[in-house]
Amino acid sequence: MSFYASNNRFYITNSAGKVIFDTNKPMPHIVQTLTAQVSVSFPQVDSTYWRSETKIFSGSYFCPTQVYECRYVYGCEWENVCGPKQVCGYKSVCNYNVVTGQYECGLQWVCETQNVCEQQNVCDYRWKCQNWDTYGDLYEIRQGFDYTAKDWQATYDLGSITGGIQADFLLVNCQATRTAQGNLSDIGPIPCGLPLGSWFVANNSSIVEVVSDLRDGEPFLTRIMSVFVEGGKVKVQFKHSNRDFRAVRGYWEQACSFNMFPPFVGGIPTTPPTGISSYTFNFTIQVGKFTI
Amino acid sequence: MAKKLYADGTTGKVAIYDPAVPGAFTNPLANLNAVYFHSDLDYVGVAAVLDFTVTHPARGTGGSSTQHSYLEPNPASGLVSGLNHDLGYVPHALVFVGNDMLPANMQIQTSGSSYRTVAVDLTTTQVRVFETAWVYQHSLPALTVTYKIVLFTPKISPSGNETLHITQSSFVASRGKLNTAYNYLRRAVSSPMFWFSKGKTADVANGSFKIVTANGSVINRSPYNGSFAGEAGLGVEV
Repeated sequence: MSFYASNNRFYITNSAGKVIFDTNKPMPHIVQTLTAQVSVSFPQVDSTYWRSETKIFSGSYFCPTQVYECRYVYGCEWENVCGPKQVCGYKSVCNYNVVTGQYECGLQWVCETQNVCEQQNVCDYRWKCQNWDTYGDLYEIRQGFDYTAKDWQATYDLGSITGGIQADFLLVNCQATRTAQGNLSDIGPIPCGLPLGSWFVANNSSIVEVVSDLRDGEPFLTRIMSVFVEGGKVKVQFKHSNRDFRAVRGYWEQACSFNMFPPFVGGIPTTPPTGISSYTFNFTIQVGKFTI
Repeated sequence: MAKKLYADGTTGKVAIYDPAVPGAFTNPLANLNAVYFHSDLDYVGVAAVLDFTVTHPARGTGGSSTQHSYLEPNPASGLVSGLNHDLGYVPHALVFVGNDMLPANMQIQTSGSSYRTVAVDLTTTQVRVFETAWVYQHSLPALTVTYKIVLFTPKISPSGNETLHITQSSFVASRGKLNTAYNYLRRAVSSPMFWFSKGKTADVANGSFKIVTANGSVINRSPYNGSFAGEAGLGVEV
């Protein structure tokens, strides 16, 4: 060990020659330890319903159906047709014989005109009202939600620093409990990458939640927590940002027009998920300061 | 500024301070601008500096979806490593990858649409790396990361009754609060071992985030479009 006091400087080395203390190098010390608990709900992710439809095929065989209507069509039908007709046959005929003074009867071939009805297959154009087999139009339907951009923040005081000392640093341990898990159309429940329930190192900002575009990984929603010093106080700030974004999880399928018009796709929630996540954070914070 | 070493055998206090500010000895917190050392202050001690390497496992993609043309997200989370410290208390700590102080849940790996985040949790016996793999369209290959985790001591409590104890091998002042057997942190303007920070190190805008670490490293995750500049930290050495 060596103790040096020279040239307006004190410094001490240990037996290995390593400097342990040096007045030329300010030393960090803890001026205060704070404990605090903050509960926060990140805001709703506003969204609007969107829908688009595109006819991709008229009269598709994928869409067989029936429609009742009257059509002027050519066709053949068996009908009972009546009309005058010459009918011939043997007939008993009696004539008065003036010689014998008697009637004489006998069969005689006779033809005569009669009104006759008979079944005939009649082909013609005529109006016909019935359920007709047909094919509906095929549509591609897309539905989903558009998220509306939102920026939000909330700041809470965790404690005043004793004596108004201008702190130089913080050492933050944090424990997070999620009291409500948000949901989004894209990914369902929003995962949190923090080790919930455990004490974790939280210097100085932590990323609480991120939701990314499934296609390229670029975030469209991020929520963070920052513990920082401002105006003689230790504060925690929660920030949320989401950009305009069309939910990647759309709902689309092919739909036939006759099912329901306008056609729609099943499975889409009637009320979009809110995306609200709530947490309670416990903090133990050491407020640090350097000597001169 | 002159420096005065003063040891009070009655109170056991030891201080190095500017003699032009005598109050610096009696009330150091109110006169910090004149204090170089004071036994009333609770100095930050380093309990351990852990440099250790973690192999994060490969994470595969999810299955196909009937509702969109992309694979289902396949998030996975859990502890991937634990290291015993056996300190008997939950220490305060700082976590670094290289020189960058790691925000909790920070992305340490990206692969196309997928990425991996880590946070470090603490128990009375262990330091543990907790990862979440956000696997979308691209699988994440295994990744090896070396972490530096600095664990701090609780306040150093004075013990014994010696105001100054100086031998050939040790220097102990103020009943052990300054002791050459300990490692104390000091400000390091150049080549610091790590950094302290008092400010925000992340911001969000346009749905994404930007990180400015205490040592000035910038991670700007597109499409962040804010103007966050961060706040410079203070480098220290042991």
